[in-house]
Amino acid sequence: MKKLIGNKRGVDLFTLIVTIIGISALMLILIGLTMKYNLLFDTFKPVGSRAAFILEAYDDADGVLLYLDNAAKLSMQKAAYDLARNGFYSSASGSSDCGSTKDYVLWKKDDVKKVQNEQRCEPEILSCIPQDYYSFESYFNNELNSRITSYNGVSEFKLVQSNYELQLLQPAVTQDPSCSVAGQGCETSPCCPGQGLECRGTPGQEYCVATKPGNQLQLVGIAQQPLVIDRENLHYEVMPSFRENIDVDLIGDFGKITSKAEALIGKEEEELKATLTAYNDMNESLRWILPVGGYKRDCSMGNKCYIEECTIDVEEEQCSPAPTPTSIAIPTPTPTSTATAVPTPTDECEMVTVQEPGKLVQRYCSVTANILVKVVDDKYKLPGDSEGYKKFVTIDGSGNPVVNEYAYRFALSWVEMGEIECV
Amino acid sequence: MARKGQFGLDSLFSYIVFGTFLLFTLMLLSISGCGREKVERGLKADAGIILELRASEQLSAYLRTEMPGKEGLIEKARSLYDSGKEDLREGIDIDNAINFIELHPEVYVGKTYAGFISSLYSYKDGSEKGKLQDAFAAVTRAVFYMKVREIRPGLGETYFFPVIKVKFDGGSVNLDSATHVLIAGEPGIATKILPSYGRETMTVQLMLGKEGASLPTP
Repeated sequence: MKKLIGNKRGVDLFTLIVTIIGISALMLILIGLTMKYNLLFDTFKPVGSRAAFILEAYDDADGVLLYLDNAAKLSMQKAAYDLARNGFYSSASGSSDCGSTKDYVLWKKDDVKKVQNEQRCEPEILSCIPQDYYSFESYFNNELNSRITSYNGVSEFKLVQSNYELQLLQPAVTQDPSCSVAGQGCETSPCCPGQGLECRGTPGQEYCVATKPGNQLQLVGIAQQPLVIDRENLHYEVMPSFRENIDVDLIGDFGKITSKAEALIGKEEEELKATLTAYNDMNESLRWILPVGGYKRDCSMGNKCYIEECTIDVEEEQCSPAPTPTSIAIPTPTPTSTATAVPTPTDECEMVTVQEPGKLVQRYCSVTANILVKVVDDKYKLPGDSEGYKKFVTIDGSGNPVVNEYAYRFALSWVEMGEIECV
Repeated sequence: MARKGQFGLDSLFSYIVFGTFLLFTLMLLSISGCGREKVERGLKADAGIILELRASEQLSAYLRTEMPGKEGLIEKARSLYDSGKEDLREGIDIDNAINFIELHPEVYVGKTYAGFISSLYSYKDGSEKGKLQDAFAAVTRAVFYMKVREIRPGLGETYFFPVIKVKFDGGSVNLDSATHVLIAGEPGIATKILPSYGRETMTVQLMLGKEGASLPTP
């Protein structure tokens, strides 16, 4: 070393060695850094990728919300259809205290019972006219939950079941008091605009007719838990609430139908039909129908109400037997060509009145009327039809489509008291 | 040491050290993204994602579109067919389509395009399933068609309608708004899940061409 540093040539050698070592060290550092950064570059995404990644998450959430909106709307339509079909009750049978006939939930059913301390029976009235339409929510929840189950089965994003606080609303229709509503005259004041009304009728008897369905049904679902999208370095939450409208005036129809149903009770068939015709003439977009065979009057022998024991006078034939002969001579048969008839003694009978125990009963007839209320909507009118009715399509057990008319169904059952008799 | 005027060994080493540091500097600059390729890669956006996002937004917009009434729909479908524009009539039996539209207002009255597609589910296995494809294609074209441009004066116009496919889950029938796809290059594809009138789901797919409008302008 001393030699290297000490002579003039040694200094050069020192510079050479330091340079070589320095260059080698720099090259090693350079290679290391290059490899590291190239590796880093390979993981680099283009500018905006991160933003696009977030936008993708928003878009995915939007796709889930689109499904939810449509599922909620479909569920509303099906719930409204089922609710109408079951007369505003939560199921076809069992939910009404009055029970149901074959296809109709009973809104009234009379039983007959004896009046205390009196010798007569009277109808025991059981009225089951629905007081509200809140069963809609249970139908809706069932429908929506089943659609959420279907969705969760095919999607990577999961919606939460039974996640909503529901609020049924009827969007307010701004109504000017100076205009006429459906059924009101339109000679002096025009039909209210924006309500699908037209002024029809003959001169002097013109009134507003609803040509379009009236108000809509609105359902607001406030989500209680969020929809979560979890990805690498991204956690996105959105509350999947919804507000959906359907073209069914459920709340308005409920009021119109339940308020008029009571007046149909106790009417003869023809009188009932006349009342329904009068309802139809009110132009409320509802068509009241008594289906064929929908009016049944049962006055069978079984329809009797027991009151008490009684005695019944019965006319009976009483016979006193004829006197019995002490001996009967048996004539010896003689071979004669003609036989002679032997006279027999006859009973002596007479009609007498006797008292027998009986039951004092009052007979009655049981009457049941099935009522169908369709919703007029000319948008559903088929070629050749004079009037269109709102429709809803379902699928039968074998997978075939069934187009059903959207109709409110209910039945009324009452009794007509008859004679009191001891039987 | 070199004598004056001579190129000595120390000078050579100095140059080597200088060159090495220069190389080192240039390589560092390259690492930090100053290379052309890396600069390009750093600045350009991922057009594929953007195109898919656009297709997705467009499909959502289509699905949220309110359907026209019966008269408007039939009139539009018929007039498009009668216009003689091959783009719009190809692969459709218009009588089948109009017959279905006339007899089944329940599939589109008061509904959005998504509701219309959901309603078609009910008919996928019924006796009228043969008319379903015609009705779907005719309605989609009638609702969403638009004139794109006049290719050459006097030679007529080109019409655009979205290429939408519907697949019913648990069924064999698929619906298609177009008989063949005219989209050049790799399209942006968006898929959405819809509920059906049954319990199954269904998928709707939109294919969108890589047009100028789909690319971001820096």
